Amino acid sequence: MTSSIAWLSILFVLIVAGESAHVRLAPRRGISPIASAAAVAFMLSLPTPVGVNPAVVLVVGMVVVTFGTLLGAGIATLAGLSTTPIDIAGRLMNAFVAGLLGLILSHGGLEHEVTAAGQRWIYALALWIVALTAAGFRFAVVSALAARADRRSFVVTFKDEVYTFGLLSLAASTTAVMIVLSQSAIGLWGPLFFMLPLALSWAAARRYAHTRRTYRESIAALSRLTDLAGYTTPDHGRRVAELSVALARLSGLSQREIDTVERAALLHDLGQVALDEPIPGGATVLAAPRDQERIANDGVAIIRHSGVLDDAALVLASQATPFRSMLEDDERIPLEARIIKLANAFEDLTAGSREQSAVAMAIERIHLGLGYEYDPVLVDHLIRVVGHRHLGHLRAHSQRPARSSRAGR
Amino acid sequence: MTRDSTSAGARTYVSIVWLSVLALGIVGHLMDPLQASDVIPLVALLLLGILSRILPDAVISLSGDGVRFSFFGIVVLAAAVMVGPLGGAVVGIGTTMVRSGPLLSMRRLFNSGMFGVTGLIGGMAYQGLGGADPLAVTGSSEVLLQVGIPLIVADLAQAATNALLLSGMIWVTAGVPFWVQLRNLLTATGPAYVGYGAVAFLLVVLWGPGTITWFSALLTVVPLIVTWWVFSQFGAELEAHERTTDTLVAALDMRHPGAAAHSQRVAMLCGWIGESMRLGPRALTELRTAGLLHDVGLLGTREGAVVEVIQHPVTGARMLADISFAAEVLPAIAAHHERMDGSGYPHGMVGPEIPLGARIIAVADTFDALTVGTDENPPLSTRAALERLGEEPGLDQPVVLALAQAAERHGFIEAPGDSWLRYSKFAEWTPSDNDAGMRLSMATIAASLAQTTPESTWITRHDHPDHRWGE
Repeated sequence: MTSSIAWLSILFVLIVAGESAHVRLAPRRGISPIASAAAVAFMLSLPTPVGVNPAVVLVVGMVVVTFGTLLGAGIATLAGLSTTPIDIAGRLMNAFVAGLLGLILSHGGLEHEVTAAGQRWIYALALWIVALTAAGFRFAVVSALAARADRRSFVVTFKDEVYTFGLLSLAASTTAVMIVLSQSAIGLWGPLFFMLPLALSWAAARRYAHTRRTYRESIAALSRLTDLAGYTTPDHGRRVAELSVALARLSGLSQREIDTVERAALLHDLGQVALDEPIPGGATVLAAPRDQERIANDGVAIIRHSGVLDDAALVLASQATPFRSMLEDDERIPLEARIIKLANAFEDLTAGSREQSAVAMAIERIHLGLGYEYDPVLVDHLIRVVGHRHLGHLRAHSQRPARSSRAGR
Repeated sequence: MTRDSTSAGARTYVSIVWLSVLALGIVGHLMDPLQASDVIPLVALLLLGILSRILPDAVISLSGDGVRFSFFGIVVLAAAVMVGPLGGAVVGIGTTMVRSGPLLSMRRLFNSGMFGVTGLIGGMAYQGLGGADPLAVTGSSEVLLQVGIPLIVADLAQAATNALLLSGMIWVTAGVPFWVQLRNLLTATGPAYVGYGAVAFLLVVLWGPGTITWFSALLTVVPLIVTWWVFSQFGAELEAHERTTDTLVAALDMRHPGAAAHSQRVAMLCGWIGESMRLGPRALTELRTAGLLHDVGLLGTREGAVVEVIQHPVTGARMLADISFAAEVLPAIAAHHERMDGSGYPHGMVGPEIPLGARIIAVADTFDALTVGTDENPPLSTRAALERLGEEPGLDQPVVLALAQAAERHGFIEAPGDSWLRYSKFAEWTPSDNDAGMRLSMATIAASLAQTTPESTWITRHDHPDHRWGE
């Protein structure tokens, strides 16, 4: 019994430690493989004393795991790394299902049966299936909650979730099983030793997340290259990227596709460096169609050189192609390219202004090219996006006169 | 030295490696011959080994010699511990042989021989330290003392063997100094080997004392594949990030054709000068990046616009200011036209005020301009260019000396004008044959550059000591 308590205490410490060092891998979504593995191992090692109702064991176990998870999440928040309630709900779901199925398994008496027959691997397999099922429930719960919060489709969210966290979650589940199995071989050392590969993954994931952030910053820096060389107006690339990402979200693209749109949008004017004389204001929407094509092609040629931005290059290759080519010449223009074409036109026409008159003028100009230059569905999305922001802008304006009039009185 | 003698050296080296495999194999057989009970672990580990060779290495570095993650090392170590020295050799050689490509290429022969020696040394170290048969040990303290500790020592012995053999090969084929390469390898792969040891221990523990036998191999491989996957993602993202340099160079080349080739040549020379000066791996990578990006400020510069040219080092540093990995190289780029005697621009810095990186770029830049030549100045041979560099009061003479050593080492000291690249030996021998095809190392860039004759453009002219711009 004492060794059982020591065992569970080690796992509890790992839950708290793992939770306090979780990794943010997507906007508002993170993972802490060490805490997950420790929590599942904890729930799978719950003792089943004779005469105690298994339901009570399960509830007590869950209370301890919840306490550890919240404690770790609290420490993380103090360190400036907040965990979302959705993530916490997912992790607790994972532990609960593992505990429930684990108790059912231990009541079946499978372990003694197969160990006696020298076939202990069957027990290992059963534990593994339990842990994987629990992980499946976690994905379902997290995706359902996240889809509702972000007003996105469940299927797209679920795919994003599995794509980003599937393998790390698989490793965490497997590690939990290995920890449970190691108890008979190396005792209390098991949780520490068997966490090592997972800790390695965790460290790599952390650096991956960091690199992703700095990479994004570097792409943004590249987009300012044309500003510094005097070709484009400051911040044009960033604004096109923000608008493009908003349009991509409304169009139901996956997180990966959204990332590509963002990169492509940031780099969409890079081809201008080949020009001897800059275009006035860097506004490609005002340039002749053939020049627009040439700028796009030069940009693509530059981006292809890196060999790693090919998805963005593919998008940019058709950023200047008018929408009608898709209808008339049956040319396939990627949705991402149509998004960037529209966002760029809007930003060129408003020159970054969000004044009511500028927005109205730009929308009017875009409407002239509706169905000819631009995708009508996307233009509807655009009106939703800028209309929304625009209303906020108006509201900010309407408060100011009210305050000044009060001061006047 | 020409290519033929290089590969003769490689042949001799590989023969010596295989002779060691034979000699050590006989000793291994006398210590612990293979038995019938070794078949199941051997087959399971061979399968794991093949899997690890099918997955491309997760490479975390631009230049191709940074940290690699492959769990092949774990498999060889586990075989050496569970089956003995011969088991380690069988898994090491067997899995290296199972790959596409010519069966008897020099590269494959070397790799399989190297892993054969590694497996044998690991098994001998384990048994020499009194390591117990892991399938027969019970009790947690016995497992830790009689399996864990000898296993870690065997692991370190394997890491050392691997690094020594590989550094020797790279020294023979690419002229990279042995100690520089050994230090690079140990810092790059040392921590990974400690991890390999720990994971091999887990596999062995669950197999024997954990009594789930072969299912242990299956379970252990899952976190390993995931770790490999995360490392690949990390490596790919890091590479994508570092490849931002390629995008910058490509943009510069689009603006001023010919600038990319010049930048790459300067980057290569900077790296070689750094090797001569015994700089660490991190400093070398920074130096190559600095060399590659030194002229990026010319992106905002029109040919003949004197003020813009004078400002280009500073403009370049400003353009790179927000790119995180370029942060360390900004001072070198901003000062790469400063000269020791204060005759440089834009600030006229003197002597030690100028960062070492900038002094190295200055020498590489000038060397490239001299060997490419201008309309008035014919291209100089390597020797003549080095002599001319020695007369320049604006250049740091120890750096010029380091370039001369590099020319000797990389075989281009006798090269005539505008063709030193064609005479050079560069590191075609990367540490593993598991490279994904698209990765461009400095060596492949060098190989493609060597096919072309360098062109004189205003980009190279502005670096020429006899060039007076603005006239």
